[in-house]
Amino acid sequence: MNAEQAIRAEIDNYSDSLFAIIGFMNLYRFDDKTRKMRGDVLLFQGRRLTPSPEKSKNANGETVDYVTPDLGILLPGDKGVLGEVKRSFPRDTKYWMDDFQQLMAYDDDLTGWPNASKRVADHDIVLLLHYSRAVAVKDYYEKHSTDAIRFTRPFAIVEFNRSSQAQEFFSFRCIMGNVSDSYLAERLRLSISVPLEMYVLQYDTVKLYDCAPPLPYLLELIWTHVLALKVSNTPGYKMPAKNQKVKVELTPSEIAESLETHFTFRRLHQGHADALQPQVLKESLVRDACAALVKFGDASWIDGTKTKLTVNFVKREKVLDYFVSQCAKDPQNNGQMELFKAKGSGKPPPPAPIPPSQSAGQTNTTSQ
Amino acid sequence: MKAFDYLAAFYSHEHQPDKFVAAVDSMLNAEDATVRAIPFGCDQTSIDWLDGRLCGDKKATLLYRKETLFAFRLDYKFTEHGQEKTESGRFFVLQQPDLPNVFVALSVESTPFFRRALLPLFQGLYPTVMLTFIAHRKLKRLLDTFKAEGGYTDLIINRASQRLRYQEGTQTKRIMPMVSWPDMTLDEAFQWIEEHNGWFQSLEFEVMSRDRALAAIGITRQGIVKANALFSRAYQTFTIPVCKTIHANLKLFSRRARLERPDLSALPLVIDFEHDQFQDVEENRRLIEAMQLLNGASVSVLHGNPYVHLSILDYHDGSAFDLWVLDRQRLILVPQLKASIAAIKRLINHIFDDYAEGRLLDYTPPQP
Repeated sequence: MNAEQAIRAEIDNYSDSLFAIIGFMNLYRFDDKTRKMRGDVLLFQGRRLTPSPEKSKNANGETVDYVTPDLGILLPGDKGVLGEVKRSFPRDTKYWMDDFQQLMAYDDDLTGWPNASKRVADHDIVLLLHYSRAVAVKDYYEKHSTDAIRFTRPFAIVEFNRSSQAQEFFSFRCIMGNVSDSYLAERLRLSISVPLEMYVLQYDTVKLYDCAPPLPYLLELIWTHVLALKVSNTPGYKMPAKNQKVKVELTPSEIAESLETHFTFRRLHQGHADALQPQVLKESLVRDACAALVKFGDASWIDGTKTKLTVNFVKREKVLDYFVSQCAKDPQNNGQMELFKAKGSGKPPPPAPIPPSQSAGQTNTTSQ
Repeated sequence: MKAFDYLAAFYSHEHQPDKFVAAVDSMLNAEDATVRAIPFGCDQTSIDWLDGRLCGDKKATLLYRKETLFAFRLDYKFTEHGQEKTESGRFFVLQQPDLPNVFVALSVESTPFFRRALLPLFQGLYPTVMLTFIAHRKLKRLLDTFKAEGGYTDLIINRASQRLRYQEGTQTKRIMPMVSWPDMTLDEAFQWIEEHNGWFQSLEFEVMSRDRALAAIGITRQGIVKANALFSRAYQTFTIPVCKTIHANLKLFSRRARLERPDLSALPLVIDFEHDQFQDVEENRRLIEAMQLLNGASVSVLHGNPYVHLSILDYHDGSAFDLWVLDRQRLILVPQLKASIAAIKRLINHIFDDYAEGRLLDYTPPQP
């Protein structure tokens, strides 16, 4: 796999993770009986939940300020579900314990749920895994479930997979444990197929979740939906001629705000958007994207403070291809691509040692 | 020497909107002239803004207005044999009753006036002014209706300009324009074009009553009609239905932009091919290649196989779309933050012209 293919695979991984989050949440939100979306089920993504005093320190003695699960579902009756999604899992199993420790941090009387009491009486913990790694991770869990990995709350491993028949589906199947909802548990045991079209239907505006997106993917979003919008809304705008550069000034925070407003789960957070629901897209990621635009010669910082940049907007025919190509040529990103390759994309990854998975679902710590 | 200059009399008379088409017909009966009618949509409910408007080397001047009828003079420059020349001609614009954003421009001037000045004027007013396109099957229906309602013996095609989407085999190539004079009956011609995966850019035919040719009439894919007789019938049978289609499309394409919706949700459109268009995965490649021929746009492939997900940016005005193929039959267009009527029309026009025609529908969600 060359650098461009690796980037493409990572974009696929990112999209699949997004589909998995959305599809799984949908299993709780869609009411099979009424065939409608339930209004009493709240979804959240990237929300900061505070650990109980018993779990306020991690294994290294560091204070855990908050945890941010990839997906959260608040159900009627003060019940809930927290989960992590992993499209890829490190090849080296020595890093797997970190992921389980992250999940075990969710096995706690967490506060900050989007209800009046900020708590739930009980919740499930779910690990969503791509099918290519699911059995191996399940085996790993079972091997350690009597010592290092222990859950007091219901814990389930659910594998997901994209499948093509007459239409595209995203399938979910529980391969270990059970969710508390017995009806859903039985369906998950047999496997549930969610049409990919449900993504277009219900969540067609969500293109980002709180995991760092691949840089070319982010740059394409910025170019197509932020830059083009700003330039074209300028009075007297005309389509740039071939090789014409239209200069547009903007700030990283302006870009971040636009993406956050228009392409994240924020719309689903209406009614429970508060301080615990931080910005999904970290501004630092947008700053990195801006720096990449500068590096590729598409922009320049206005001054040394790097708070504002001038972008040379040109009529580029294949925006994503361009950024994939630029990132693949960039040695700095090539390093990242090696990481992508190592993390795998459902295909056999190379044997290089890699750091732990970089999912944004995380535990945030403060060193003592 | 002519006994009476009907054209001069036609121009000197201040016409009433409800009698104008009949007046044109009468003039055609008396003069050896041809009328051309260009139906178009406009983002404004009047056309008086065109008065004094400079469009390149063309300038329109309003001569008079009678309610919904506007009479213009058009001055234009052109170069012939290395010499710059100035000419002028007349045209009328008739606003359609009950269709406030739909107009028909009419002219009985020469072919050079139409080709050098009138048509380029309206094409140059994009996106304020939008011409339309007629789907292949609709064109056939209109012709059948014209023949049946007029009780004509036959419509004999004496000139056709057709474009074929693919050359033989599976290799996608740029659409090949062809001009031919097939001298076929309507049914034969349409069968031929369907078998060759093409469409008629224009058709010119003689209207036969037994062995007598009553009129020479032409109609283009843009709905532009020309006629040297029987104009009232042609107007009723071709132009009015095309105006209704323009109106329906303006309605269907309007307010699709996410920024125009309070909850920022998307309002997708569907092109239903009504058969298993995407049964063969090779079809995805054909679609992607066809989409990448869209001028003045970026087409980014986020996913190409087994499902299709494209991100499309129209540089004409910054409109953006997602295009999905998630089943064998349909293509889903998701307008993004900005999605002008003109851009939606241009995109659909391109799909119909360069890929395949289908039935355009408001998106109906599937039952999960």
